[in-house]
Amino acid sequence: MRAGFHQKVAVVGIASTLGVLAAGLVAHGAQCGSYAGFPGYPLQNGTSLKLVNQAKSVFSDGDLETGVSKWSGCPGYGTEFPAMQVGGSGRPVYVKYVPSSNPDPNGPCEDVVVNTAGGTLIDATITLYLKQGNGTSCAPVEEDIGHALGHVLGLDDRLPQRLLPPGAAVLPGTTADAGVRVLSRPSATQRFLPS
Amino acid sequence: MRVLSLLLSGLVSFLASGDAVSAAPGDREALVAPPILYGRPVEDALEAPRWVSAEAFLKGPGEFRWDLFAPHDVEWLRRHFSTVDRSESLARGVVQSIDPEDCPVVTSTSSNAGARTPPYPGLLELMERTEVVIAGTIEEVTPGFLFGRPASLLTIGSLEVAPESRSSTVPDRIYVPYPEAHFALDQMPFCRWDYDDLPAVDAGQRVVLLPRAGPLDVQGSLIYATLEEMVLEAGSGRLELPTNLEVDDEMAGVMTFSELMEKIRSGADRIGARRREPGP
Repeated sequence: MRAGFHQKVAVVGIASTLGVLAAGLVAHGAQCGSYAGFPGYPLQNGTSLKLVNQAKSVFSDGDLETGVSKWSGCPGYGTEFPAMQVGGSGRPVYVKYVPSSNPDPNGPCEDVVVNTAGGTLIDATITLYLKQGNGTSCAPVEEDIGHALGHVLGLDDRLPQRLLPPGAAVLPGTTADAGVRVLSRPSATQRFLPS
Repeated sequence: MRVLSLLLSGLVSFLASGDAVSAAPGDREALVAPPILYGRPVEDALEAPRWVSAEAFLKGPGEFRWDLFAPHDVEWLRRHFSTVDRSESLARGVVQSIDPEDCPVVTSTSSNAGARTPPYPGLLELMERTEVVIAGTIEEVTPGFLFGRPASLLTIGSLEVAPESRSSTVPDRIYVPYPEAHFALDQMPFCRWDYDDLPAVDAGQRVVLLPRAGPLDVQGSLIYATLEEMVLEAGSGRLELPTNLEVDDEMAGVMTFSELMEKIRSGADRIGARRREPGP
């Protein structure tokens, strides 16, 4: 039997979540599906995430809150997956900015590093770049933050159809296409340039 | 178009030559991967090294080469040191491999998903978009940091390159980052895997790379292949396929390394024939 690489987030509790996901898909615009039985990193009940703005000279807390709003309207927010706020208490999510291209030539506008212990998220770092590794300019900051928060929650840009049904758990900033996730084209807007 | 045809014919010749890769890890010389690999100078790129081995980062007990990392990576590393407990049972001032079961904290990243391109590139698509197919044998696995994150560096030798016209651009050995690591550096554990069932890598394994991106470093030896551009041969002889190839109809029935090479060979023929067809 051949082995495939399965994105970590997809295999966390997937056996117990597939049925719920398949039964509960509700389109929320083109942004989020149903997150019942959320397949991302498990968190203890009531655990929330606090965003720590470490680039206040580049983007405002309001930009971060707009990014959070991409998720706060989704089914399961605060129950199936953690609520998020700027500041306050919770597991820290540090948001940083690097005013250059992603050094990874295949790298996107955001680099998300998550630390887990026993499969549970303990902290995360979102690094936003001026440009993708291939030189493409990045989308408005709130779009990239919304997208990056999906990675913090444990979602990948796309997952095999056999792991998630079409439309399930689509990241903000992505579009559903036959069960896979495809990054939307970034706009030419450069919101990352310091004024 | 002619250039493409030549490239593909070169690929076919390479693959048809038989024994495209040779696994001879038994009498390897003592290898030491470069401790630091710098990136190609790009106008607005970071100047920090792309790769820093764990040995290079460690100066001695309690002493580290922070200067090797970009400021935002230093911050991440320092936070790691401040939040993760040292493994007191390990030796100080050295780099040691640790059992994944003993990893107190696991780091994963979103950067190696290889999902920034159209969905599920199959074998033929990978072949069409790469400039060079590289087959070789893993000679060494070195712990360290890629872009400031824990990772492994695969030293790959016994290289065969296709098309042959590209041979002069590929050194005798290449170094390929791999997003999995578990080591302790001065008692501080670093563990990284982005996928739960990422195949283990070890010396002696054969690998085929179809990298889209060119080398990351000045010497042209640091080759960055995403997981979807890499096929490993496990110790058992079976293939470790990335998901995009596992679901690729083209790969149906391909179970061994030789079958993969045969499939690449036939794929090159078909791509070449398609490109030779006159346009509408």
